[in-house]
Amino acid sequence: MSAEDTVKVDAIVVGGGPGGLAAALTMAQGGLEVILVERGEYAGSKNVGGLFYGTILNQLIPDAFKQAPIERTVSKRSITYLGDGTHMSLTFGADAWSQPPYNNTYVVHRAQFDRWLASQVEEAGATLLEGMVVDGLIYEGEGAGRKAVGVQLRGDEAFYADVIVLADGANCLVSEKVREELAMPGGKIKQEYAVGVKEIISLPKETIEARFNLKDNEGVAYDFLGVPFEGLIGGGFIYTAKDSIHLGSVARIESLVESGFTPSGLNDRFKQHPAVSRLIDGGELLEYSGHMLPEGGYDAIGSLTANGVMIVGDAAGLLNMSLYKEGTNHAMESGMYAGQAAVAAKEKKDYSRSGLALYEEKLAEGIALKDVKKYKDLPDILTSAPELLSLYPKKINQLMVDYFTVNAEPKAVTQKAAMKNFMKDMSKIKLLRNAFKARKLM
Amino acid sequence: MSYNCIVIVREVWDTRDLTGSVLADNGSIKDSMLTRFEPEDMNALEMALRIKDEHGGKVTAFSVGTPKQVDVLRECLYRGVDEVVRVDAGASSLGTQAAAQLLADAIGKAGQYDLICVGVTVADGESSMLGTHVAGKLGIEQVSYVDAIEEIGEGRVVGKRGIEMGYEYIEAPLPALLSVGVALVEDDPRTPRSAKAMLKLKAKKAEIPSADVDASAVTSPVSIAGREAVPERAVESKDVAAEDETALKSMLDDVLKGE
Amino acid sequence: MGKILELTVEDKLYTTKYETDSRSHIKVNGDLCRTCSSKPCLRFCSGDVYKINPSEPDQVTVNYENCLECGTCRHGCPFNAIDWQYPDGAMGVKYRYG
Ligand SMILES: Cc1cc2nc3c(=O)[nH]c(=O)nc-3n(C[C@H](O)[C@H](O)[C@H](O)COP(=O)(O)OP(=O)(O)OC[C@H]3O[C@@H](n4cnc5c(N)ncnc54)[C@H](O)[C@@H]3O)c2cc1C
Ligand code: SF4
Ligand code: SF4
Repeated sequence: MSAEDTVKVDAIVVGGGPGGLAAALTMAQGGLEVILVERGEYAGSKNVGGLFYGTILNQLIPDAFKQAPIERTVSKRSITYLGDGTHMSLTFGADAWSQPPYNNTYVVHRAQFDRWLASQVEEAGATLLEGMVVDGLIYEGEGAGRKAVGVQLRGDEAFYADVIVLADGANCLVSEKVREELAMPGGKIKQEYAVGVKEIISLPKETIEARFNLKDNEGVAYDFLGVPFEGLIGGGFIYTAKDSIHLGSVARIESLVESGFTPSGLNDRFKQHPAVSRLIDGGELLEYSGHMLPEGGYDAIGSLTANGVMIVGDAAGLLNMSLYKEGTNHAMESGMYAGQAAVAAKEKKDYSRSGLALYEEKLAEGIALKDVKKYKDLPDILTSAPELLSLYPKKINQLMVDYFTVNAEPKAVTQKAAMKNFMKDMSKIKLLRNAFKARKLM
Repeated sequence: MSYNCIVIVREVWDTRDLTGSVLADNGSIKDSMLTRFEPEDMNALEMALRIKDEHGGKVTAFSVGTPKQVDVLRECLYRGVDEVVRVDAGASSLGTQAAAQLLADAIGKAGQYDLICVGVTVADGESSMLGTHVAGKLGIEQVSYVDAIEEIGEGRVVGKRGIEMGYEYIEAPLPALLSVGVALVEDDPRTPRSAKAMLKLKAKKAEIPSADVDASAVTSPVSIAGREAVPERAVESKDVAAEDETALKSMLDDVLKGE
Repeated sequence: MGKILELTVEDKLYTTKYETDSRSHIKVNGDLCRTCSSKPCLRFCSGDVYKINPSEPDQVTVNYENCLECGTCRHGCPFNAIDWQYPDGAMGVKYRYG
């Protein structure tokens, strides 16, 4: 670090979530002098999640998951439709998921996991500045040549760097401002957000293992749709931790506003469904949290590179908002590519937009962007055919009820009546059209 | 005129995390329980730093023991103290008297000082007498529950203390020890400053010097002999409509009867 | 604490840890609220921060101490009346589990 009271390094990262940590780690491993600024007292203290997908982390830190604070590995996933007093699930488990690498899916407490990851990044040589807020960037030059040269910290301090990686997450005040100040082109559509709230509910380890039929460190990831979320673009989830359960709901903000539910109230509706409440019976609340998710999808992603700047992770809109809610690995992948681009830029001594072009090139070839692209029509589909989330599952659920109900009628009669009931209120053409759309959900 | 101030700072259990899950089966606190910078000590630190801001001089922070999770001495450097001294407590945890003796030994060796500031309460135990004991061992005056410094100069300090009907001002000769109180005065001057990024960058990996004192020389005859968890008590609650006078009255009767 | 199914949002927020700042990081432009009849901030906020001001029912009070920093209010207020900034470093919500 240079003399006296100006600090100038190769790279500054804004935000200590998976995106920023992957960027800082990659750059530190590539020999760059890196400062990572995180506004929380420790990395993770502002972050909310549940599952951590480990593919990228395993590339950056071999065997990371042997040391990381993991709650459980996910050996079983399911999608459940919650009806009025009924429920219908599709569960999938694989024996292989109980063996390393555990399908790369882990249940973690992000506040603890991100903190651990930050300690690894520090060990790799990056400097962590926690408890510091970045209020904006500092620029030089005008017009197309305008470039970012440093960060403005709260409390009237400034640090300088050749390149700045913005990883400020879903609630990204800095990225939003920089986009405007550097006139970075936006996406085809405006970014849209969902709000998620979550309750961490403590239960004895044995109770969890008995209730979810688990051995040792196995865990489940259950997703839910249906009646509690009726009229909303949203759903719920349950992930099992060691001796607690993550139970949360996510809903698109404008649909929530229309519905009149509060985020907490929505989670209560979900929690109180009989198929759900029995899973948490006797539990005690340990923590309540709230966080946003960017849900605009592929079309909402704008330019991610400018002179001296790259945007990664949720701030870039790289979240797959299908049932998978994949954000952690996408954030890490984009962070890793941004880190690689910065290392290459240093070699060429060119940190301009074109000097950093490698970032978006790698991103285009990688998995994150392809996955987000695959689901690119999802926001549209969910808005244009809300039946997919409510009416159809409800109908199928009713079909099950009618079909399996044991009564005095012969089976043929029951089944015919069930089918008739099923087709009631359903337009066949629309059904076909929606079946086509629904393929894109999976 | 400038002043040399000393602050005594402590890392304490974060009692906000004290829920059933942080207690081990034998009732002891698990390692997973988080710690924090004692908030009253943070106020004491701010008091000392403000004297330096206004009059110049130097602030030195002392702390007993090695950090568990939060290095309070490093935090002091991030906020602008000039020097820090770690006082090694040896293997065992010390009683208040013994900790005070070690601190007094260390402070005695650190050279001339005008004022010592320390928080008055500690969230994790009944050791809010630490300051008093340190002053006693050093043979200097002490004033407790000081909310703010009204004036300092000419060999004396005037502290301001919130009392029931207003404030009182206490004057003491220097050097003196002030324990910083809990009462909030109107123009609370103690909102602690934030860490500075530059200082943090510089001090993150700085070496923290240890005081040259002998922990084995101080022994404490006081120790925790055992712990016992209090069984949880189920409290029944009742909803009573505010307009329903008979229900309210019967509830009041129940309370008076001790039900 | 009550049974897990009966917790109010206040009960829930009580379990969340905060370093409360003495200054608010949220400012609301009351002139705009006056014209806002639906007041969605009373509903969309995950931290139950906005409440009707009892003495001025067309205004809202801001319990910034409860803020979970989700950012929903920055997108949900129809009049952009809410100026939300990050709290100072290390202040505000501090998740233990997250
Ligand atoms: C309820 C919920 C459930 C989820 N479940 C899953 C899941 O099961 N699987 C999955 O893969 N993903 C899940 N996600 C998504 C996942 O959490 C995010 O995609 C991921 O955290 C994004 O990483 P990031 O690094 O981009 O941002 P974040 O993790 O949000 O990190 C951003 C960081 O930047 C810091 N910061 C912001 N601004 C500043 C500033 N100005 N100065 C300094 N620091 C700043 C923040 O404090 C934060 O630490 C879930 C999200 C939610 C809300
Ligand atoms: S939604 Fe916005 S404008 Fe309406 S009352 Fe709330 S803060 Fe005011
Ligand atoms: S960020 Fe806004 S919506 Fe979220 S908790 Fe805070 S005040 Fe409420």
